[in-house]
Amino acid sequence: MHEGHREAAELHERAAHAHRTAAEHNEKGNSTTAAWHAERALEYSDHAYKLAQEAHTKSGEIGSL
Amino acid sequence: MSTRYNNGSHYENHQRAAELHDMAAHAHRSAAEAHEKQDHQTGQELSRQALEHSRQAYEHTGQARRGAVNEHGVATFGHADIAALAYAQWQTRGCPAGSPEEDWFHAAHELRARAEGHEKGTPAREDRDS
Repeated sequence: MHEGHREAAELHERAAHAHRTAAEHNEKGNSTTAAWHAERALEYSDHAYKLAQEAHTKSGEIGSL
Repeated sequence: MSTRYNNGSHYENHQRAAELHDMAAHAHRSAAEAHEKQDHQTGQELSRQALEHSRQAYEHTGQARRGAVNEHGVATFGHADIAALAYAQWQTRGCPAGSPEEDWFHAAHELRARAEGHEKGTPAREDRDS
């Protein structure tokens, strides 16, 4: 169960990194590259949110024992 | 098709999304630590906060991503992209004299093709890990 939280944390960190990289490319006017990194951020974010939901469900189950 | 005029808003959207992802990551790690210490009540509350941050981060990511493509869902590119590609292709061809307009035209054409590929779900650029 703890692993679910840690895995979600890792994916959120990857999403944050992808967003910051996209922001840097936007600043430089490289909007095509920025769009590519934004897509990666979305993938990481989507996966992280699913894991967060699963981890929270398990957290509630263990808390009610 | 430059989107430079809108870069500030793109930049802020991405930075805000990154902050929310950082908050979610922190809450997840805190929840894991609380559960490991058998403090399940705190772990459950931190887990709830992590899920809320995660949801907000996901929504912001969607907004930032929509800002990175135009209203038709096509990745946009600017003069800097065209100039960089034109220069790279010119170097690849051995730096011949003349024809800068032709280099520019070919680079713009290729970027348009890549953007169309992006619309269909293929990566749009090779230097994606920079």
